[in-house]
Amino acid sequence: MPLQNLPELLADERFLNYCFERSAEDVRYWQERLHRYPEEQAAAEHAKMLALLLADEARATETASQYQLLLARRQPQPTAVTLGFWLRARQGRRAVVGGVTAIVLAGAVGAYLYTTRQPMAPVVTQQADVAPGGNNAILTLANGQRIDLGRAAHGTLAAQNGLTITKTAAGQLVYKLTAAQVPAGDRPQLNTVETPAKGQFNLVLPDGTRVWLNAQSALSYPTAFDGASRRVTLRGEAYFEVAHRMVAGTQRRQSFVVETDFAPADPRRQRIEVLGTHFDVASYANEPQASTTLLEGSVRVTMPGTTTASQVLRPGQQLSAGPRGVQVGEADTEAVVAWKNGDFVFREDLQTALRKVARWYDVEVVYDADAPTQLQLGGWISRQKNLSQVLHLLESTGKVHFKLEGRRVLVSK
Amino acid sequence: MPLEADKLRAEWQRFTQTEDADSYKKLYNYYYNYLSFIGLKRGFPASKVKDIINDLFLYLWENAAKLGQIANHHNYLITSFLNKLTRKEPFATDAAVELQDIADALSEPSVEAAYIQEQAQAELRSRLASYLDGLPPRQREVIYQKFYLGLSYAEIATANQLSVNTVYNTVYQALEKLKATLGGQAAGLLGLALALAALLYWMK
Repeated sequence: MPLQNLPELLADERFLNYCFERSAEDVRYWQERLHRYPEEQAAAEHAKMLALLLADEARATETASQYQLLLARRQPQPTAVTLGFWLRARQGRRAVVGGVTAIVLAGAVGAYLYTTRQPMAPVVTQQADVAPGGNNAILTLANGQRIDLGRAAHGTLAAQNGLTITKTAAGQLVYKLTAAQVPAGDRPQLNTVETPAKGQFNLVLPDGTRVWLNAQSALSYPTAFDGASRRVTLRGEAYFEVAHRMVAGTQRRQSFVVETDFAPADPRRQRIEVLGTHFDVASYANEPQASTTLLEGSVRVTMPGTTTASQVLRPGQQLSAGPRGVQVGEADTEAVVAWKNGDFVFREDLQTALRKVARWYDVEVVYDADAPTQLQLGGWISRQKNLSQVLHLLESTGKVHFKLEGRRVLVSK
Repeated sequence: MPLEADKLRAEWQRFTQTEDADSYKKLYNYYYNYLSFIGLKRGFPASKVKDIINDLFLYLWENAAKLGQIANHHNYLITSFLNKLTRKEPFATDAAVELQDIADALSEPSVEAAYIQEQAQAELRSRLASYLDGLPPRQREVIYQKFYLGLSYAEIATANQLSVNTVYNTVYQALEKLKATLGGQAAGLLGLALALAALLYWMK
């Protein structure tokens, strides 16, 4: 067993000097010693390899964590131009997100501003309105069978490989192991849940991890998670609450890895590795950047399309990757997870906001030449409202107007 | 000037001319380690060394435009860092510097850098990375100082204001955890990585 005396070897100053060639004397000493005792060679080779890799990883980790501290000092919170419109869209708003006090305060002030303003006359052309999206997705089993989860009655949907797949009364998809383990010889099979435009879905994977899937998104996962890590692939956006789990028969935690579904060299491509934690991954092909936002725990993100370097995020941080490189900063977590809580939070430019709207109402957005595409918004509304109400809210800024024609939204000044 | 530092000349120019964030980060990635090494080798406390490096880089960020005149960024950074560390002089944008003699250059573990970069070790590296993330900050920092910076146990003891024994025990405990983390499976991974490394070496 070559790792037997690993701690002794790697804690030995002379051995490290040999590995890193920091002292000619120690290099000579160890070369002679290994020559004399060839049976030590395998262990020494393994230990040396580990020492070199560990040194480099320690440099990366240490530098990255110090750089994060530097960034935190360098960038005071960006202050977006916020237009004071807020709409109280729901009663009994659940206090789900951290940093609630500040948000509530801002909300109170916003609501005040809103009520003391003369509401604008609605300008949206009232034709057929567009209803919001809902719980809707297609499940594709390993054998190619497709199940419409929106239409399926609740109860058991399918049984495969010692697993049952159930849709609960609350509309959640749950995997349960029925056999003690997946029958030997059966390889875990890949299942995919895909939401259309106007769709979202909530599922519990075989390991107990909960996943919320936003509109126009797809998640592929094996029906059994054995081996050193649990791997899933994501297109679009999802929020994960990863369950802690041990690798079978060991004391080691099994990691959970999310890979985003971009072309191999796409700079937005990310690989997110976690042990057990809450985070959001947004990786839409029609967004300029893909981002990972951490709410709890710790994740390590690599961008396999462009670099071998990786970033560790702290709770409250967001990593965005795109053609202009990688940025890590403090996240507006309430805005990031708003969709999962049934809201739109618009603290962004008009175009970004309308891309979210398009996915949830399945509409096409068309901009007039003079449309204020760079308009910075601030406000929120329930995702359960009809499209016209969302557009009214945006129009209350007085800076933008909409015309709804069938499934097209025309944007003008 | 070390070769690596010389290669960063273009990044320094880009940073001072256009405030390029990417160049800034590349400079940081190199000089964080370099300056840590010089500071700790001189026996200054690790906490102070870290603070001053970030103070310096914050200063660079805020004064990028005024730094364009500095031709030798390496001398400028080291001198500014040491002046603040030893004489508590504030940072300045004029490089009124004659470089102090830096005999003890950071000997980076770059011997096998070529094969360290290989994707073959991706899995093993990712294991090591999550292992490091899982370590208490104190153990992680000592591993960095011992393995990457190559400081002696005595030097690490001074830097962290600990006894040599405590430092040794801290390293040893972290390595026990490493052994446990790698366990059975990783020995195979390691073997594979070694075999590939040997192959790459042979093909060179």
